[in-house]
Amino acid sequence: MLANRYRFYFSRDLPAAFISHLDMTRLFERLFRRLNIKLKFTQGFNPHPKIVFILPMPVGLCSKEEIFEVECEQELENSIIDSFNKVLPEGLKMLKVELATDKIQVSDMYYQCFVEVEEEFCKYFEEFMKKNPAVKKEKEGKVTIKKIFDFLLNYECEREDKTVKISFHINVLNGSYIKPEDILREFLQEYNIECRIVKVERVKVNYKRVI
Amino acid sequence: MVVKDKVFKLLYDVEKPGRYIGNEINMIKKDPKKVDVRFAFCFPDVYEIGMSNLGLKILYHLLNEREDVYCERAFMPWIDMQKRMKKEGIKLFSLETFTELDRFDILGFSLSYEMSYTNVLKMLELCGLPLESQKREKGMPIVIAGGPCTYNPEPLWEFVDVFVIGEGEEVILEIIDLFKRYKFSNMTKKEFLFECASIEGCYVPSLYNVEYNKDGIIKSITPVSENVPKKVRKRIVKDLDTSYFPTKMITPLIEVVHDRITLEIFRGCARGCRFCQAGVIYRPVRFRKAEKILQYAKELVENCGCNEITLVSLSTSDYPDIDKLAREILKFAEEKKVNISLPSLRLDSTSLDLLKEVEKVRKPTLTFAPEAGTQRLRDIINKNIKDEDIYSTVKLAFERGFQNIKLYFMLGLPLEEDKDVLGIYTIAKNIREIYKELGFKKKVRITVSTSFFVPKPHTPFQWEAQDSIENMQRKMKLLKENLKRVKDVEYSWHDFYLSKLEAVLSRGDRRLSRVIKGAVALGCQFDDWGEFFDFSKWEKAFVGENIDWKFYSDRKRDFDEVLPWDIIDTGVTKEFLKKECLLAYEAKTTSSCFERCMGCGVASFRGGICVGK
Ligand code: SF4
Repeated sequence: MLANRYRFYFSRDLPAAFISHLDMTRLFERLFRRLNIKLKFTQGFNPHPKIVFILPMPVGLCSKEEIFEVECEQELENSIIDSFNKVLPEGLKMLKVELATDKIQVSDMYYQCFVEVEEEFCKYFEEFMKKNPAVKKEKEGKVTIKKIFDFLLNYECEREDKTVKISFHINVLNGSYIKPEDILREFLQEYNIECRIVKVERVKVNYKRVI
Repeated sequence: MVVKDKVFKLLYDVEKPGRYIGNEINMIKKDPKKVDVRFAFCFPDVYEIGMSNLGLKILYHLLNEREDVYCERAFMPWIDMQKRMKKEGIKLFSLETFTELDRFDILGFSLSYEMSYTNVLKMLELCGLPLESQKREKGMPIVIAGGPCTYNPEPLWEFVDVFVIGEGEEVILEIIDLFKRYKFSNMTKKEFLFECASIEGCYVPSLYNVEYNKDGIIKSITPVSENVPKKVRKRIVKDLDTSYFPTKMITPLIEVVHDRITLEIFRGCARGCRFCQAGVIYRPVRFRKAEKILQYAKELVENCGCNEITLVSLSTSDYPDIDKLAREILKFAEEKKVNISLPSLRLDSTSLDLLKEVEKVRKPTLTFAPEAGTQRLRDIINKNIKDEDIYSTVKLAFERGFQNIKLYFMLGLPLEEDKDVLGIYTIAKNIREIYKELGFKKKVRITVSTSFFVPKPHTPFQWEAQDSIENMQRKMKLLKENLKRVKDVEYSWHDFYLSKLEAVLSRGDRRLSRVIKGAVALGCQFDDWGEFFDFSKWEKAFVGENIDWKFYSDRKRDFDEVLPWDIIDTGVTKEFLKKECLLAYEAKTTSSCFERCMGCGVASFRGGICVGK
C-alpha cells in the first residue's frame, strides 16, 4: 500500500508546552483521526501510528519550530495546515508540511532561558562558566559526565528588567547534546541559588539534510 | 498580575503540570462577562481521576449549552501544587479562565466516593471560603453537591447548602433558574434555600432538625416548617433517548485514568445484589436505543479522536443484542483504528467470542466477580453466578488463549463463615487445576483480590454490622495462608482501615461533619491514596468529638431504627429492603427485574423496564 512519509513543522508555546512527550504523540494521533487522515499503523498486537519527533521536548519547553514525521496512507494537501490550526489547542501551531524524501539530523540549536532571580546572577554564572564545568547525570545507576564546553558553542547572560535571559548555542555531536536546563541546575546547585524558571525556549534548530 | 500568569510560573516546579493548564480539545470558551451565572464544577480529586468521570462531562456540556451560564472546572491540586499556591497567595482556580473560585456563583461538587469528603473541605479551604454553609453570606458562592454519595448526605450537612439527589440533568437547570432570581433580586440566602427545598430532588439540610436518643440513635428528623418536604425523592431521567448526551466531549491533553471515550448504553441494574448500592439508587433500568448509541459513537470518534471507545453500564450483558451492537460499532471503529472495550460483561461462551473479536488490542485478561466463595453465600447476597459457570468459562477462556484470570471477592459479608472464606481458595485451586489438565505449557496468572464488605445505605444489608478489624485480619490471613499453596496465584487485599472508614462515613449521621472538619485540621486529605491515608489521625478526630467510630461501622441496627438517610427516598421501599434482607438470612435468591417484577417500589417513577410490569 502507498505510504508517504510527511514532515510537519510546528511551534509550541504555553500552555501546550506543559504537555509531556508521550501526551504529544497521543494528541497528534487524535487530531489526525479527527481530521480523517489515514495514518499508517504498526502491525501486531497494539497497533499505533509512528509519529516520530526529531527532538524530544521536555515538559515546559517552548519552541519556535519543532518537527515530527509520520507515515500516511494517503496524499496530503497543503491545506492540511489550516485544518490542523483550527483544531489544535492553544499554544500549538502548525507551520508547514513537506514530503520527506530525505532524512534530517540536528546540527546545532539556540536556546533562551528566562529566570526570575536576584541581581548578582550573571556575575556568578560567568564565574561558574570560567571553571570549565561539567554536568553530571545519573540514570538507572549509571553516571554520565559531560563537559559543558564540549557541546556549548556560545552563551550569554543578560538582565532584562526583573528577569535574567541566558542564551545558549548548543552543538549536537553524534546525536548527543547538553540540555540548558541541566547546565542551569548544575550552576544553581553549586552556588546554592534559588531561582524560578519563567520560560525555556528552543529558539532555533539547524538541521543537516542527508540522503 | 493575572492568576493565569502566576499559575504558569509555578508549573515548572510541580509534578504533572498538564493537570493545571486546561485548554483541552472541546473545552468550552465563553466570555464570563456575558453570562448571568458562573458555575464551577468541582471534583474533589486530582485531574486524572476527575476527567475520567462521565457525570462531569455530561453536566459540563449540558450547563454550557445554556447561553446564560458558563460552567468551568476545578480539581483538587496535588500537595506540591497546594504548597506553591499557598506560598504565592493563589486561591483554587478554574481551568477555563483561571478565575479564583470564590468569585463564582455556584460551586457544584461531585461526590463519587466517601473517601473524598476531606478533599471537599480542603477545596473550600483553598478557595478561602468559610466551610460552613451558615457562614457563607449572599454574594459568596452557593455550594451544591451531587453524585452517588448524596444518598446519605448527612456527614457533609454543615458544609453543603443544597444536595442534589439522583440524576442531576434536570434538577440542575431548575436550581440555576431559581439562582438567577436570587442573584438579581433582594431575595435572602435563607429565602433562596427555602425555595430550593421545594424543587424535587433538592435536599437542604439546614431546613431539618435531627434529634437523638440517649444511646446516640436518631429519634427524629423533622423539617423546620410545613412547606419543607418530609422526604426528598430522587430525580431520574425517564427516557435516555431524549435526555442530553454530549458528543463533542471535552478530551484531556494528558493521560487520565480512563483515557477513552465513554458511552453510556443503559442506566440501572436489574440484578439486585444485596450489598450493591448502585443497583438500588440507579433503578429502574433504562435502555438507550441502539441507533442512538451508534450515532453517538460515530460523532464521539469524529469529535474527540480517541483510539478507544468503551460502552459503559452496570451490567453490559444485559443490554439486548449487545453482540449485534458491539459488532456494528466495530464496523466503523475498525476502519478508524478505534478499539472497543466492554467492561462489566458477564462471561460465558458467547461473550468470550465477542470479547476476542472486539477487544483486539487488549492483553487478554478475564475478570470475574463471584464476590463470594460458596454457593450458599452467593445465594445470600443474591449473586447469580454458579461454580460450574466459572469453571466452564475459565476452561473456554484458557482454550482461547487467555492467560490472565482476575477474580474479585468480598470478605466479611453477612453470615460469612470460615467455610466461605476457604471457598475462595477452592475456586482458585480448581481453576489452576483446570489449566493443568488442559496441558498448557505457558505460565498462567490467577489473581485473587478481596475487598471488605461495606454496608451501604439503601441496600438490603444497610442494617448489617461490618466485621471488626480483628476479624478482617484473621480472615485475610486464613485465605492468604491457603492461597500460598496454590501455584501461579497472586493474592491482594484491600486496606482494612480504609474499608472501616468507608463504612463509618457511608452510614454516618450529622455528628460526623465535625469529625471530618477535625480530620482536615489534622492534615487528612487524599484519603483514598494509600500514601496519605492515616487512620490514626481520623481516630484522633473522633476522640476530639467524643464519638466512637464503631457505633457507625461495627453495630447491627434494628429494622425499625431511624436511619440518618431515611430522609432520602430512592423509590425503593424500606419494606422491600427488609424483605430482601430476611430472604438473605434464609439464603433465598430473588429473580431479576427481567424475569419478573419484585415490587421494589421504583415502578412509581414510571420509567424504563418497570413500565408495564
Ligand atoms: S419496580 Fe419491579 S421491575 Fe422495576 S426495578 Fe423494582 S423490581 Fe425491578
